[in-house]
Amino acid sequence: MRNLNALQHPHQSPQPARFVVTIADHQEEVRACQRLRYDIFTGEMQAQLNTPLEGHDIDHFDDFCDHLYVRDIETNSIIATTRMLTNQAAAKAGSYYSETEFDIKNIISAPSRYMEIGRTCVHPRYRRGVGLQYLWQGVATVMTMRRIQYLFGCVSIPHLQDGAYISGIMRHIRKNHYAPGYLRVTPRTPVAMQTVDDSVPVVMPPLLRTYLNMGALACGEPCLDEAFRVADIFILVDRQKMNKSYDRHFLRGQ
Amino acid sequence: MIVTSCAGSKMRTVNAILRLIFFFLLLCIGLMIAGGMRLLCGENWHGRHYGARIKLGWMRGAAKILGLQIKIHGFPPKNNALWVANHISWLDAVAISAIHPISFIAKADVRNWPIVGLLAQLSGTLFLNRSKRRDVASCLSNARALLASEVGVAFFPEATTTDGRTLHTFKPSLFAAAIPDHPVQAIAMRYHTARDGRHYAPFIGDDKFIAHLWKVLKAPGGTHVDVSFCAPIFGADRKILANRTETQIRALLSIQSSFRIEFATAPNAAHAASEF
Repeated sequence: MRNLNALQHPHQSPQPARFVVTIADHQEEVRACQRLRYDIFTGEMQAQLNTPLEGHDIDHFDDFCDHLYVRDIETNSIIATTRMLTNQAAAKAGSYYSETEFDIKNIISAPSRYMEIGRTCVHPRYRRGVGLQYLWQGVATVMTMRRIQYLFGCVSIPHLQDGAYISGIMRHIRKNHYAPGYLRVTPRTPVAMQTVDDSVPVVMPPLLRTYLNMGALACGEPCLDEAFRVADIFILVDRQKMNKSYDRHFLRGQ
Repeated sequence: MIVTSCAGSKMRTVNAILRLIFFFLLLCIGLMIAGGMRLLCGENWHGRHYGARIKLGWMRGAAKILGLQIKIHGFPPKNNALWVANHISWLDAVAISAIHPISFIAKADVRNWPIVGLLAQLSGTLFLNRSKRRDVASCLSNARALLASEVGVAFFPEATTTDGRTLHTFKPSLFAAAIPDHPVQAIAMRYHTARDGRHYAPFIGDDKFIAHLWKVLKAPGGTHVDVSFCAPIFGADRKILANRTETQIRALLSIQSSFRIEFATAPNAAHAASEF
């Protein structure tokens, strides 16, 4: 968010932006996003993808989603992507993606404007930098322009053999970021939890940390996603209750 | 601001009358400045350094008096481009001009609006009668000349207003004003409802300027608008430019259309011509 006085003088020297955040408006751009997803999901996360096009992560929902991406102009490559599914689009797709993992009727039964985001990923080289920040700027702009009230989605947590990591994270979440009872979702494949030691500090994955700092709520126990070797946590963001500092942070023009 | 400080309907009327007077005074000042500058500096005064500043300052003053509160998202302009926006109201032009000094291409009717028309003419608005082919050609060459001299040009490719919930197909003809090295940038506009839950911004069909101005001045809580600058695109084919900018605005505002069909059949050239 910027107000007018913060804008620089119009006759400043033109300096092209290094990063562009935009919604894919052409199939070729969607394909590039799907390639980035494929590389990250199969490479780092060693997911087993069942995809119709080699080298691309494609599923049923992709055709109904708007694909938001960040492009680095210097290298002309896509560095971060996410996909957004509005309630109208979800009606056409048959359901939200989250509904394949959770029973979410507590969340979406009230008439409002919803948008699901998912398949978010950032190229490893940009993870410590601006990748996620620019992507969120884009999401926040889309939320504002579309007047979306609730944003939700699944955040994936790497699920190792023993489940200690997810158990530690859930412990922290239940204490600090848990949704009230009427906003709970039920996982279709629950994850077995372990008792974890309080004294061990939890390191949050960046995406989850960003969400929670923004004021997002976790709406219940995670769901196991075997193909992706992850445990998915369902999170919900209410635009009205969005953390104001993050609001500013993400809505500020670049 | 003054707008928010009054509660009752009577107070709002008084407030609106005061602001109407201010607005009228601002128009008169604008006429004097624009007329004077035109005599002193010639037809393109509004594109020069101080002229552009004066125009921007005037527009911001006008936005303030009208109770227009503008939030900017996305990529605010960094250099001069051909801007295209979805069209809801004459307030669109005020909001965009308050962000960046721009010459608008307006329909010829606007010239006949009281005072505003004359002011628009003196401060660089290009008027266009779409039904006259020769008009379009001369308007295009004027727009190209402005762009080449680093003055931003904007127009509304729907050629008519909507209530903001729909979007008409973008007419490609004026996209021919695009020149190399200057991007085309789509601007998505969305107005909030006023505090009483009603929409005062849309200026549709046979609405009269003065009556609409009065409605806007009386809108409880002022008129809030989100202005989002989409990623700039480069290219020369006016049909592809029209198609892509329309798609960008549709996607951002989530206004459905034949989007998927265009999506599937868009020629590969569209992509090649518009790499960032």
